[in-house]
Parts: sequence; structure tokens; C-alpha cells
Amino acid sequence: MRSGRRHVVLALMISAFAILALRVVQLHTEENERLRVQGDKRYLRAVKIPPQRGQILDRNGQVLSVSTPVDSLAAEPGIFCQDQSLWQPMLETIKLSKKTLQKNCEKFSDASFMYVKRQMPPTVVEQIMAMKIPGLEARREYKRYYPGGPVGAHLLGFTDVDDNGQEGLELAFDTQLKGKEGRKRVLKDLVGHYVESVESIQQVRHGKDLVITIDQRVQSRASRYLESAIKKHDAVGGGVVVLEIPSGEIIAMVNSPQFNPNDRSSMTPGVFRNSTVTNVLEPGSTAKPFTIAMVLESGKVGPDTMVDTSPGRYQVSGHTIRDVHDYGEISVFDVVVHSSNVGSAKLALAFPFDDLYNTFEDVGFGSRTGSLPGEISGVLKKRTRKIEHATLSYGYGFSTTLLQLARAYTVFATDGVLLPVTLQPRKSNYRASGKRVFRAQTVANIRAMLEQVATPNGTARKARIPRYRVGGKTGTTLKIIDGSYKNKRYISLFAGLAPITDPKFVMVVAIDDPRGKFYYGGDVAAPVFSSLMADLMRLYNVKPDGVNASQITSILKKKNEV
Amino acid sequence: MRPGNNVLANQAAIKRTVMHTRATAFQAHRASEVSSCDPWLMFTVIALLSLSVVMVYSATIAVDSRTLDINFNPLIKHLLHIGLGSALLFMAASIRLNWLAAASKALLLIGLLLLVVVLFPGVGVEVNGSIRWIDLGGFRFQPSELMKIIGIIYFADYLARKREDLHLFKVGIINIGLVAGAIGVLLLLEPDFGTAVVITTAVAGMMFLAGVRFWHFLLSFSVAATLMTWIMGMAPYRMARLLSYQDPWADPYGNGFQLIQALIAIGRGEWFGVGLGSSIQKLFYLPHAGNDFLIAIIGEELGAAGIFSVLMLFALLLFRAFVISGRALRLGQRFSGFLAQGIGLLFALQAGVHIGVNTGLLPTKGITLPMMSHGGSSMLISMVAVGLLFAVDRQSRPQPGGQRCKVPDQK
Repeated sequence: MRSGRRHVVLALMISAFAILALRVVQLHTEENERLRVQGDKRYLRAVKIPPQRGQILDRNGQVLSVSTPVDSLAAEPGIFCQDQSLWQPMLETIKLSKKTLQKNCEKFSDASFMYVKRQMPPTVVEQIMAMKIPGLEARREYKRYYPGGPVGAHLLGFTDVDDNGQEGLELAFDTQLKGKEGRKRVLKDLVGHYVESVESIQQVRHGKDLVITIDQRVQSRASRYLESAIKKHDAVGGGVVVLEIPSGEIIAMVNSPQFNPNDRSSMTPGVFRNSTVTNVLEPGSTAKPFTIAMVLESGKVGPDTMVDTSPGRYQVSGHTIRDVHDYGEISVFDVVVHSSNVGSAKLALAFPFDDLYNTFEDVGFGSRTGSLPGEISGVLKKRTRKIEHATLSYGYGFSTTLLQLARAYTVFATDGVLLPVTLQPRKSNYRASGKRVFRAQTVANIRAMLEQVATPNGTARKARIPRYRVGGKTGTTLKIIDGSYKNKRYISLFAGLAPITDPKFVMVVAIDDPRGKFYYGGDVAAPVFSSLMADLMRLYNVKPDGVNASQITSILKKKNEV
Repeated sequence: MRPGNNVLANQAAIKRTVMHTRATAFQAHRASEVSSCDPWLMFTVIALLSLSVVMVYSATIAVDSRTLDINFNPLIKHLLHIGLGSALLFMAASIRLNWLAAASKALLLIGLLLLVVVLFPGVGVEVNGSIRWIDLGGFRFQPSELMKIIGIIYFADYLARKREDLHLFKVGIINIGLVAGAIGVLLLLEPDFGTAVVITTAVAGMMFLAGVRFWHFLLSFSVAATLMTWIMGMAPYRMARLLSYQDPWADPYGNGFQLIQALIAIGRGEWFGVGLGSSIQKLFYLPHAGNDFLIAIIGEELGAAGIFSVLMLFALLLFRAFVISGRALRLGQRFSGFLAQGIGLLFALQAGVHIGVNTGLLPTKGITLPMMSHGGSSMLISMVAVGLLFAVDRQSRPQPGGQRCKVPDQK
């Protein structure tokens, strides 16, 4: 029996085990740092947590723009592209061709990340993930959805595939809406699944909601009426702006042609422009009330002062100013009602150029409203030639946006004060403080003229609405195409307010290039005003001013009988 | 009647007595069913198997969730192996050791034959560049695993038979060297480097314990070492690959990949582990997590405490094997004694190599953790080996009635 040798063997084995144990300890102590770093490098990943973009809401809390969760399929090409035999059921579910995917695999073969398909309903992606395809992972993203579709799309703008604002309010308020991306550290297994969330590096801050002054009910009606008018008169586009008085809030702002922000494939460049603030037009006759207001403001001329407009033509420095008819000798009041170019010119020329210029400047032509991105100021320049003085008086020789024109009309809707306009809601019963431009008496006179325009005798009888007294001014301006006026190409305008006794809304309607039988602002634009203003009166429960006491009793009687 | 008295009797008497002794021994087994097993050994085996079930389940859970096919569920497979292994353990524990000794040469031939057969193309199944498996219709059998236990049985018998002549160089070294060399070469052809090392080292240990002359032993050891170095030196790339374990960081995504993953796992575990089930490395970073790199996952999830526990269990197993062997040798049961020593060494060496590979102390060669790893052949053979340990234990135990249950002395 050699028990000595047994002890030697046992001792050797125990020492070997002890060395192993020491080695394990060494891995925990000396090598620990290196191993941890190396390990982290292999499976620790910083993952972005996309913030949910804030909603855009209208004044009544209706959602105009919302980010809905969608899932994208992403892959680690190194793993995912190796075993293509597992692809088939996935390809069928997401309707993707194998060729496209193989091409992507080739393209991203050196990358550690590629998208397989983006932005699908989470239920579909869940189905795919259940197939447990190595290297494939789901990424939560958000897709912008516009419940109103094309309605107000120009104003709202849209976001790109990563939910960053690209146009309109989405771009202007991007920082507020976007929030701040969060980051967390996760453990990832070799096939790319997140196993465990380790720590939060950066708390995600979701975007804040944006409430705007738009009333989606009005907005959608405006859109509908505008579109049908465009169709009826074979026009190429148009726009509508509605302002609330006295807050100066923009209630509606639509333009055409439209696009559907939910369907990116329908988008063509250029169609996104919110033309109510990015395009200019010459206001034409719609500017006449400001000229006349200036004249009245002088105190030297009253509404009843007579002006000789015959023979419907007027020579200024070799240029001829024309009226549609020869109105003969008419009152200043009728210069507005009949929209006499000759009358306006003669009256304006009786005053220094600067008086007219300053008035136009005071009502905001040539300066931005500052309420929207991409807005342009229009051009209002000092002129020296007499003919330019004359044409300025009836709305040519300077340019304005539709929103500026609407803002200018707030001086007639208030008692002579220009209101700042805004998309950001004011407190209720807010009275915007603006700059006084005209005296109240002047405004009362102009309102009377504007109301007269919208009677059967005026140019805009189609602007009337039942039970309310409305006022406004038509305009039919020649279109400038490629720098010169084109014969028989027009922009039809109507700018008006209601109810005329205590205006609650200002509305401007423009129809671009009506190529049908009608093209006068009173025939083309005024009906849109009428329909939409009637709706506004009802929606905002505005007290009728167009009925007398006996009519009211008869209406009430009828109601009671029913 | 004591069997020892029959040595001088005639042939017929021997025959009769042996038969009688068998009967007595059998009755003795029945009578001492419970008391006759070494409680420490039993504890070790149950502890290893329990830990094995938990850790194999944990280590293979990621693979499990990917296939979702019950037939390939690693836990169920593992439990089946343990169940089948338990049956084999009981069979092995009840085997007549002198019969086993008598069958040792035949067993060696079968083992060698299988090692040759597996090398034939079409018979052996190649996995990861090694041809180690024979497909038996759904179950892949690994002849090298079988060779481990057969080798131990054969050399235990040889050393017991030639006990008196071991001091002779030819008997003590040359003969053993030839057989062990043949086994080693066949294993290297697969190649199964790890098993070859474990078997030859275990045999060397047995020779040393059995009493081969020390300088003979030293000489043969140095010759073998020189030979190995020379073989390796013939193919420098093989040498480079073999030595890559010394600095896995030199090629972290090539040769060093597996080892680095194992090291990261153990390093992550620290003293008490990241917690059962929380291993990251098993999630496809570390290949063969339930098999050749099981201890790394144990280290990650249970920490150094887990690895130390495993080391202690194998040390205990070795110690009990030596205690059992000592008792058998005192009774003159040489074959039993050498067999127990060989089995103890086999377990301890293989566990040591497995942990050595996982910790980067030894070249990265796939070898299982005996009694624990997810692998059918390894588990079944381990269970048989433990069964034989129990057999040696039971057949060398004093019986309750003062009688020794004792097999005839094995020469």
C-alpha cells in the first residue's frame, strides 16, 4: 500500500483546484475592469426613446394633429441577412419583395442597423416579432395623423418620417411640439433583442400640446365652400381667412389646391404653401374703402360730397382709368357702392400722396402680421408718379397677403382700430388693443357704404345672409402672370364683416383665376362669404341684427306652434 | 466459509465456492440496500445533478425559446438523460466487479473499434470540425466518452493483474504506453484533444498510484511531453491556435472569441453572481453555454461562490473515491481499488480541465463538465462511472452482521 503516493496525488489535485479558484478570483479583481468594459461593449446599447409629439388642438379642444404609435422593423444586417430562409412568412405579411430586401442587405452589409420596413400598425409588427427572426427588432415610432385630412393642412403643415416639423405650424412650433428625446441603456442579446433596461440616461420629455385659435368646425365649412366655389367657377385655387372680433384671433384659414397630409404619396412640391400668407395679390377694389376712409378722415369731404365720374374714363398722365359703366356725378358714398375707379382716383388725387400711403401703411399693408412662419410682407412703396398715386387709390401698385387684407378690414369691424391678429388663443373676452387708424364716425360711414354694397343695388348682393346685416367690398383684380397683367385672368375677392351693427367676424375670400362664365368678386367670392358667414352666425350664436321686433315675434310664434 | 480459504482447493471446489459466494454477496446486497452506500458520495452526486438541472435549464433557455419544439427542448432532453443515466447508475452499482474485470479486454477492443469506426466517413457525424459522434437514430453517441470509462476499467484490471511486475519497465511503462498511446492517437484523429488529455492523465495517475517506479514514471512523462510538443511543432498554425488562449485579446473576434465570452461571463459574475437566470452571455454570445462552457454561466449567474461550490463537490467526489478505493485495497480488492481511483481522477481531471478552459488557463478545447453539462453521452457515462464507484463501495463494505461482503481477491 502506497498511501504516500495517494496523498501526493490528492495534494496535486487539490492544488490544481486551488489554482483554478485563484484564477476565478483574479478574473473578478484584476481583470474585472477590462472584462466589464469589454462585456459592456458587446451588449450594452444606448437606446433612444422617442418623445411623443404634442397634439395640435383647435380652440374647442378638437384634435387637429396627433402622433399615433407605429412600429418599424429594423434589423442588424450581419445577423438578419444571413438566414434568408426565415424571411418568407414575414415578407408576405408586410408585403415586401425579397429583391428589395436583398438589395438593402447588400447596401447595408457593413452597417449595424437598417430599416426593413417603417411605420406599420403595431399589431402587424407584433405578428412579425412572434416569428422570432434573428437580428430583427421592432422600434416604436410615432406617425403624425391629421384627423381633418386636407382641411387646414396648409396651416398645420406636416412632419417628416422622423416626426420633425417640416412645414406650417408643425415647423413653427417644432421645439414645443417635439419634446426631448430620452435615452436609456439596455442589455441586448446577440440576435438584437433588448433583454433588460439598465438605467435611464436621459428622461424622455414628451412634446407639449399646441392650442390654436382655429375653429375646426368653421375651418371644415370654409374648406368645403371654397372647394365647391372653385369647382363651380373652374378656378385654379383660392383662400379664405376668418378673424374674430375683437380678439383678432384667426378662426379659419384655408386655401386651395389642397393636399392630404396623411398620404405622403399625394404630395407634390409647392402644394404645401399656405398661400394666405405666402402669396401676394393686388387688393384692387377691396382697398377702396381705405381710400375713402382717408378722404372722410380729412374732414373736408363727407359721404354726400359729389364726385363727377363721367364719362367713366379719366386721363392721368397719358394713362386712362376706366369704370365699368359711366356713373355720372355720384356721391362719395356711391363711389364705394359702385366701385368707381374714376371716383377713387379723383378723390385720392385731391390729397397728397403721403396721406394715402400713410393710411395704407396704418392699416397694415406692407408689414407682416407676425402670426405664421413663412409669411411675407407684401410690397407697399412710396411712389412719385401721379398715375401711381391714382392706381394705388383703387388697389393696384401694391401687394398684400390675404391675411393682411383681413387684418386691414378689422379697422371697420372695430370702431377704427387695427387689431393684431394671432393664432394663439387669447383669454376669453379679450379685447385686442390696437392702433387707432380712423375715427369712429368715419368707420360708421364706411360700414354704411359696405352694407350698401351687399344689397340688391350693390355689387355683392350674393353676400347677403338671412336675418343678419352684412357689409363688404368686392374686388376683381387682373392677375399678374410673369410680371404683366393678363387679359381676362382675374382674382375674385370679397372682404366683409358681419353683423354690420356690431361686427363679430371679418372674412376675406379669394378665388384665383375663375375661368367660368362669372368672374366678378360679387358673383364668385361673395357667395362663399354668405354661406360661411351664415354658418358662423349660427355656430357662435350671434344675435340677429337684420330683423325687426315684429319679425321676431312672428318667428317665435312659428316656433311655439311647432 | 471464507472465500480466501478456497485458494488452495481444486478446480471444482473453486467453481462451487464462487457460485456460493455470489449468492452470499447478492443476499448481502439486499440486506444492506440503504446502509451500503456512501452517504457523502450520494450527497455529492445528488448535489451535482440538482445544480446541473437548474444550470443547464438556465443556460439553454435562450435556445429553448428560439426553437419552441418540444423535441429539442434542452431541459427535457437533459432530464431524459439523467433519468436514463440513473437507471444505468443502478445497473452499474449492482454489477459484479470481478466480471467487469474479466470483461475488461473485450471492452477495450469494443471501445477501440468504435473509435476507429467513428472516423469512417458516413458513420461519424461531424460537428464544428470534429468527428466525434455516431448517429444512432435520434441519439448521437460519442465513443470517446465511452472510451473514458473503458480505459479506466481496462487499466484498473491491467494494473491489478500485473501488480507484482509493475516495477519492470516493460510491464509498468511500455505496455501501458502502447495501449494508452493507441487510445490517444485515435482520439486526436477525431480530434478530441480534451478527452485524450483527460484519459492519459488519469491513466498516468493510476500508474503512479499503483506503484510504477518513480523514475520510470518521470521518464515516460517527459518522453510523452516531448512527443506532444514535437507533434504540435510540426504544424505551427496548430501551435499558434493552441496557444491563442494565452492572449485571447489578440484576436477577440476570431480564435479568442469563445474564451473572451467565457471570461466576460465569469468576470461579470463577481462573488455572488448576477442572479439565477440573469446571464447575458447565454443569450447567444457564448456558444455551447449549456455544454462546454457551462461553468462560465454558473460563474456569471452564481458568481465565484457557484464555481467554488462546484470545485468543492468534485474535490469531495475525488476524496470519497480515494476513501472507497483505500477500503477496497485494504481488503485486497485491487481491481476495485484502482477502478475507484481512476474514476475519481477522471471526474476531478475533467472538471479541472473544463474550468481551466473556461478561465483561460488551458487551451480552448471543447470538454464537458462531467455530471453537469448538457450532453447525452457525457451524462450517461458519468452516471455509469458513479455507479461503478457505488459498486466498489458496496462490495468492500463491512456488513451489519460483522460479515464482510467481499468478492474474491482480484489478481
